[in-house]
Amino acid sequence: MKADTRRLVVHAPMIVLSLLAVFPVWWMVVTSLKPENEIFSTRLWPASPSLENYAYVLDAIPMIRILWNTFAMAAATALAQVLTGLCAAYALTRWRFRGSGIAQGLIALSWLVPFQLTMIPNYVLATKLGMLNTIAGLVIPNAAAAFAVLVLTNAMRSFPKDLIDAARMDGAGHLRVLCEVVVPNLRAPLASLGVLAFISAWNEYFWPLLLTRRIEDTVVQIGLQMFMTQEGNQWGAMMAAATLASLPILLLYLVLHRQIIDSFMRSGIR
Amino acid sequence: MNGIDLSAIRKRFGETEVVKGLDLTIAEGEFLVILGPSGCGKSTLLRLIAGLEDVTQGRIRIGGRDVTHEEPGRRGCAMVFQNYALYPHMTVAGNMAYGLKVAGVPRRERAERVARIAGMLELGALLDRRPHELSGGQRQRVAMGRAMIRSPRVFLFDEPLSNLDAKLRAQLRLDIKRLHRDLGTTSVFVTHDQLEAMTMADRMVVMNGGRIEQAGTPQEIYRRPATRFVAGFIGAPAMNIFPALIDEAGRAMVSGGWYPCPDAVWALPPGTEVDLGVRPADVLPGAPAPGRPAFTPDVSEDVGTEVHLHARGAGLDLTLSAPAGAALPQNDFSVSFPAAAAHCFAGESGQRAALRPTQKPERTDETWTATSLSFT
Repeated sequence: MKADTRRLVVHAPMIVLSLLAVFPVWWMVVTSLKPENEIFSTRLWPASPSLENYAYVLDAIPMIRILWNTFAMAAATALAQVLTGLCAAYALTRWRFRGSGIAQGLIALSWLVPFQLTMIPNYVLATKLGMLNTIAGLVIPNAAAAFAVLVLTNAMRSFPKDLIDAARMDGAGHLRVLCEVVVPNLRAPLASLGVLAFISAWNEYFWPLLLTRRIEDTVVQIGLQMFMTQEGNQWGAMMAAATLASLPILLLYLVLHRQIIDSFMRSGIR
Repeated sequence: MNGIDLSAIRKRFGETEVVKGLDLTIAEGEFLVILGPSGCGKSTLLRLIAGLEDVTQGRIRIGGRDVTHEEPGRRGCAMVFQNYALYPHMTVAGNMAYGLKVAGVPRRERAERVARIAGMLELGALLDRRPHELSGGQRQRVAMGRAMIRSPRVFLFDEPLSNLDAKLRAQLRLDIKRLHRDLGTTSVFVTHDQLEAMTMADRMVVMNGGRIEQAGTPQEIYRRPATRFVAGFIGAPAMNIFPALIDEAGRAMVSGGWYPCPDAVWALPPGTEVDLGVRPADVLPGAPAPGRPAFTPDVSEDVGTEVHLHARGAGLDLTLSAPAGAALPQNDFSVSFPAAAAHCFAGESGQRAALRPTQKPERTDETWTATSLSFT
């Protein structure tokens, strides 16, 4: 009985917090299934659920195309951030060179620079390079992230130096050491960083808003905005689009949830 | 010609000089052990030979070829690391064959060579296992197999036995000796364990503070330590060292007018401060006598084959060792030792002093005489 009470005391706040976290998602899905006349009802399940909002969304905007754009942009950004982070972390931890401490400090500092500060120069540059309305334009300015470099530098510091030395004695060059020895043994931090970078890129709003002009070239966060009109918000359609936008991330989590939690725990990213 | 020639090697890490102008030649097929305390630069020296660190100054030649600026994989060296350094994501076979894979050796030939080396090291049944499924000894044998498979010109061992228990260490010591005998490959073995060094080396190098204190065969180094440091570092229990002063006649006088070795006359000017040393096994205990300090037995340690007795007297610590079963002093005793067993090191430089030329005692292996003495 005492143990049960203790368990309840421990679990009760967690249950409340979980409900708080899950409720907005639940409300989004429920609203997306509500017909127009029920939108503002506070019932936890619509009286007559329908998929008409989904049909409307797919008809009103090129949703599949937008989802694909978002996926391509997020996957490319995550991959680029992991690759650049990996190379930078290897160089910072394995090579002794003058100014390596300063380089690392500057990378850490760049993390503190707000997006609003680099937004205009990046926009001007992207325009001059002809990257408006392109996925490359969305990816390249975010291809290197200070967070990725710092996380991987940290992971690489605790990587056994002897393994790298052994590979070098075996005749492997730096690239080969990185690809064949370091990467297979740093899967946990690489996976967690990749997932974080993917989610962060998927949720990107401002940069795509600046860079994309055409609806078929944009990403899902901008697509959602299409249902906020001067005549008022189309809540049902917006929630249907938001649900569709969340599905890939949800699917990614459902498939990989064991690995993601494991890698977050092991890599120390929480 | 697979010898190693190191000339004027210096290595600095920032402001700290770790290797300070070192010259060393290692003959082809030689098993050289580098011995020294932690931080003496022995592992750095090995890494310089391997190419894992760049020299600040000096030249490294292997087999007559200048490899000072060569990449590690191109020097023809293979290294066995202290903590094995096996690739955790590869099987035993994968670990052993990795160097061959990098060198572009065809898969079939790799498999053949892995099988041959695995047979030599009795690893045949473990080829599909991963490192975490192996015991410490098995891991070290895999590490040795990985080094052997490329038929290197030089083997480099960086304290490879220090993570193993005593029994396994003794076994692997023998295995390495046998492999060296069979393969005849030039080997450089770094350790801080003097037993390992003494038992394995064709030749030993004792390092301290980034410099070579002495190089020679284990017997030369044990019998005639060139410096005060080597004298104290080699031998277990450690050599007894007494601070002394050279008198007008060249004899070493320990504080209080005691001449523990009156027969030895040193080629040093009178008044020179010296350290007078004697191995614990060479100490001759005797009955207390006037003019000699009395040592009081403190603690004895029985190590099976011999017994070590630690004693104190006149502000000095003394250790003597005797074969197991020999009678040890139970009460106060005095001490002397023959000139041939005495070692004298000049106080400032720590360099070994010679006996005066007129005096050439032949070093005989003194047998323990305490058994014939009785202390009551």
